[in-house]
Amino acid sequence: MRPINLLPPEVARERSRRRRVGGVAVAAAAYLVVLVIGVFWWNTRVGSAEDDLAVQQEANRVLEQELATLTDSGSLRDTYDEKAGLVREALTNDVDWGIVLNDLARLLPPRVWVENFSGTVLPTATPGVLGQVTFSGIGFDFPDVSAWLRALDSEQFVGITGSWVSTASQGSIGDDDVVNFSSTAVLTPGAATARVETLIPEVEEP
Amino acid sequence: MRRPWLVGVLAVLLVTIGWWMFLISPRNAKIDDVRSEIAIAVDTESRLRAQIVQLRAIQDREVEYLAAIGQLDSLIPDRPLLEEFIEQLTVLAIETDVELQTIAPSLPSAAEESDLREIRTSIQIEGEFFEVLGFLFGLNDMERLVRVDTVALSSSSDDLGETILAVSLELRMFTLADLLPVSDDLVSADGLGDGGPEDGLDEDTSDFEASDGGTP
Repeated sequence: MRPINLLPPEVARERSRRRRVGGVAVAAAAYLVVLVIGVFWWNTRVGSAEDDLAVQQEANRVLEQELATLTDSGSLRDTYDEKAGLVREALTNDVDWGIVLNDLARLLPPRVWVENFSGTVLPTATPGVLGQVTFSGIGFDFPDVSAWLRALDSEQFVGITGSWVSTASQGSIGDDDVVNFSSTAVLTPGAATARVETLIPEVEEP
Repeated sequence: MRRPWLVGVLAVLLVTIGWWMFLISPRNAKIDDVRSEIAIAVDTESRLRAQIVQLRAIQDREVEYLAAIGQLDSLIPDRPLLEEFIEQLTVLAIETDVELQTIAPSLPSAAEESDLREIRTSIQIEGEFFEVLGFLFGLNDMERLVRVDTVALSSSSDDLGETILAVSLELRMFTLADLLPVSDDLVSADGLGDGGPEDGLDEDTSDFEASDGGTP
């Protein structure tokens, strides 16, 4: 059976408008509640992150206090490093003259002898050159001077290279003819001491 | 009929955008900042822990370190200790059977760009070849760090026909202090520095003749 509404149509339209306005208002209120809840949730996230940070900072503070009690150990290591560095510095280009002279005596050709020797460590570092040595020596003949040069340049003489004879002149000792010569060479890193390794006491790295 | 709905949707969009921009974005930025700080703090914690482990290991080896520092102090003492050096040199000469003729140490002078003070010393000795070698090796083995910068030797024969070497050595030993304390007043008034070459202090050289009858 069809319902019969005797009210004027304006009343029905007004009721319908009120329902729509009410629905919109409820939806708007719900929407705003969601937004407010969202703000609270984000506030919680911020607070949680700040709590994490506070915990981490507290842990670091405890570690820093522990570290402060160990500063003496740190300065002990610093002192050792500093003093070892000074020894290394003092031994820069340190030449083992004992080895150089021993090698010289060992490799000296049989018919040659050295009258004067001088060697100097160069104050400024040149790559591959530690110092310079000069010799004046005597041989019985000119080939002995060649033998001298070969001896200096031989691989067995690790500390010396670049040997040169600047003069070789005939002379005599008593009735015997001899050849006097002057010679130079440079000291290589092979002539350096290994005292840095032996003198600096090793303490195992932590 | 559709216009109010469109207006409503647009209003919701605008409010949502405003909510995000003015309420949520600042909070997100804050969270990012705090997370960055946490990451830095975590790195700091790792570094601190590593340092503590390292320092504890040093603490465990404290005796070794102290012994090593003692040895290094013997190599380069805080004071010149010239008297000990002369005694040690004399003992070495006697042990290696060379004749110690002259010792001429200069005043300590500052090494360039270093805390070291150098004591340059000229010495002259005389002896046979292997004795001289022994003396040179002995210098390397001294308790104090001594380095030889220059060696000059010349050979001659003695009355018995033995080859004798006359040897001049330029040595350097090191210390960490000047001979005299240098105050700022002295530096400004007299131009005295830290014993460096510019002071003229290292120009002075004192010679000691050996007491065992050696002749220069």
